[in-house]
Amino acid sequence: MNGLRDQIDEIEARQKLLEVHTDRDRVAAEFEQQFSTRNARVVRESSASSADRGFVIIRDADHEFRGALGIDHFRAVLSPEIHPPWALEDADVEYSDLFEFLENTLFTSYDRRQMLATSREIEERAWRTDAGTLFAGFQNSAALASQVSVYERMVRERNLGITIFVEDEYDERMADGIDVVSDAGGEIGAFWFVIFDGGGSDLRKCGLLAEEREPDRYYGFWTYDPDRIDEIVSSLRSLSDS
Amino acid sequence: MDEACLRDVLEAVEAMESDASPDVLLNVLSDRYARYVLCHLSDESTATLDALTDTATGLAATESGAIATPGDREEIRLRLYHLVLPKLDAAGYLEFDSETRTVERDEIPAVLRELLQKET
Repeated sequence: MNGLRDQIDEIEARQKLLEVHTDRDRVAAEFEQQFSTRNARVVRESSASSADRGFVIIRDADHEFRGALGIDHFRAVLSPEIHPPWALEDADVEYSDLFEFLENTLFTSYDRRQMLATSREIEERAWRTDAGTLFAGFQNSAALASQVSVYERMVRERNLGITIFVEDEYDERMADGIDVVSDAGGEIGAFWFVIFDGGGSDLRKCGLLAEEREPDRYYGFWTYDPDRIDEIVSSLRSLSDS
Repeated sequence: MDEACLRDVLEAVEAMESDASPDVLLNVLSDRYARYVLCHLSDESTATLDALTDTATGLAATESGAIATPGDREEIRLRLYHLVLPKLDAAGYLEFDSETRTVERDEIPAVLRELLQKET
């Protein structure tokens, strides 16, 4: 299967630009370091007008404006906490906004904790939508085992279907509503993904796709783009049907 | 703007030299986008409409605590172009060339500069 790797390559080709508007050296250096492992170039715009209220602007590869937010707010976006989906449902934070802001930005060297936090945001969307199918891919059955209780609660309390892909054999009994495609073969074991098909709504589609290139170092992106999600879902469906 | 700041404005207006009209000054100070533009021009004497829009969008996002989208930025750009920059031009604080979409700083009253400094 080349579908998943093609998706990562395509995102990689589009480097974003992060403009940090601040007169503080320390703040600029902080973001430069933080983004040194991302597919984004950091440029500092020094200005006295932003003394106590610095902000960042994100631009796409064509330098088109994509978003702006205050530096404190941006820090919060960059350090997501891990919460289970049923806790996020009531959280008083604009998760979708935060999430949308950095979508389609390739990240590198996410660790397991950051991957889990991002996965939770996708699962939370599925939880709230209460319809549709969530696809999740695990590199091995041990990784899957650690997430099973989350997925069992999701199918028990919500009207969701879950399809899980795992490269090696997985023989444990699963709750109704969870399909396991084990021994999926191909490249599936190279990827960690969580994709939600939106339950019939384009606005609800979202997903995370990453590849572990070094131990505990993930390389990939998340997206809200419905066309991109459709492509990934169709390549996953063709795998699970075969 | 809090009370202390408003008091400063009123005191400043009283103490002001006669060449800056209080009405114009207060009108400018009460428009946050005008304040953002003047903040930007305190750093640079010339600026493009795009650069001013970026600054105003970033400062507005910081103040509101929300994320500014491309749609928000476009609204601010139109606002600057049609309302804010012509107003500041009429007040004599800057010159706005709507053809080239560039702005050149003119005479910004000292009292105004001081108040904007306080705000940041």
